[in-house]
Amino acid sequence: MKRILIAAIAAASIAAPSVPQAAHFSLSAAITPQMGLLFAGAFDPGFSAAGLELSGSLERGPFRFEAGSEAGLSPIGWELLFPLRAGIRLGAGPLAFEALLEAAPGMALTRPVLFMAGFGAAGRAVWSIAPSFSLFASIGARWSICPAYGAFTGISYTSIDMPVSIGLRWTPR
Amino acid sequence: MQARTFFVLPRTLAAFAGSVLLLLSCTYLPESVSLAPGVSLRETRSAIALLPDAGLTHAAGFLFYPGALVDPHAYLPWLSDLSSAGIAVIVAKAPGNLAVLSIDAGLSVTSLVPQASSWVIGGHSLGGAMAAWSAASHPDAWAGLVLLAAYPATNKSLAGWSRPVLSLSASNDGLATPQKVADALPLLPPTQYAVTGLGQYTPPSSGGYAVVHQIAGGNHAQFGSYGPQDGDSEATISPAAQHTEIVSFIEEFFQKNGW
Repeated sequence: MKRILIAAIAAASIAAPSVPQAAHFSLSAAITPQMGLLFAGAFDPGFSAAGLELSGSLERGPFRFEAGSEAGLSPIGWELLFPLRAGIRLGAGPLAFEALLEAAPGMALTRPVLFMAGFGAAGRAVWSIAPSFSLFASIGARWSICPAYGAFTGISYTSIDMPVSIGLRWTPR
Repeated sequence: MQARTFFVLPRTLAAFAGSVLLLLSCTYLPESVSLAPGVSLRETRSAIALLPDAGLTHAAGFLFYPGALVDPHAYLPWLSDLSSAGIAVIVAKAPGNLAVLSIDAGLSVTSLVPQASSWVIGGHSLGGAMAAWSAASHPDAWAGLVLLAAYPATNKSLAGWSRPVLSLSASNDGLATPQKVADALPLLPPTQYAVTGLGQYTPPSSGGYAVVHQIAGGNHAQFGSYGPQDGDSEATISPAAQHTEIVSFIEEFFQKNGW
């Protein structure tokens, strides 16, 4: 599992500089509260997690690619995820929409550190507020797992959440 | 500009991730989770409930706040022993495993076990301090308080509280040291019984009081089952022996108060 995590982080780091210069690059910061829907296989609504995400993205034509790191709280405790997203942008005006698929490998900050991951999809509205700055808000669904948690606690950790993200994007001109 | 930004991005992300890892100590996971026979567990996103299969023999339940950065399952071995004695137990989970982030979580999670007519709140370490905080903030919400290697914050004194308090500490605790626990005794109800064993106190007919007991040879981490803890001292008794003493004193505390 650690090898998969390291490979994913390395791929994101290596891929970014290899994209042609014509692509638009941007940096984003967002807060990411999540409302829980299912926990350990049962309907269990309520606050599930919250985090802070810093990410970089590349936009080429209608396509977007994002890589970032997201630190925050989860039902296990503290977690650190590395979301990788791919999607498309719809609309070219000051208000645009993005649809994204996500894989977020990472770790539960436990002793010992455990591999965890999230997989999901999100829809995002982006509002340009200045030539280089945009505000965005997204809502989606994420399935999170921590396979080894059950070996320590006896409960299989799976959670389906509804992440909401609100943030600011900076696109250098 | 873009090339430079591309170069900076991975380093920025790595620095952010590294900072998070450094700033946040990791949660201690349980060494083992074995439930006492005859106890059923129900877990939700916000709490873990333990109920004896044979039914409740005590009207009051025990609501527990785990210590800071300790996985809540790490207390289930001895909490299930307590439950097997006929007591409903709920462990309240906290965001980031820090009870300080949800001090009053216990007020809502007790609805998981409606059979209990009242609740005694308690906790370990920071969880105990937050349980005391909740007792000070909501004096009528709890029938009593159990502190495990913990004491109230100075601005949340329980000296005037009219309910019973049980304070269990450990002689080899390197974190909630015997000196710190002794220094905080004025924050508990002034009628106090320092006991060395079971059966050594009779509750007063009315008003609050505190039963204070130090577990000889115990340490901070053995109030749970999560292995050694940074900053703690070496225990000279086994985890099982410390757990047995904890359960015995809490069970007696329930019996003496007619809960």
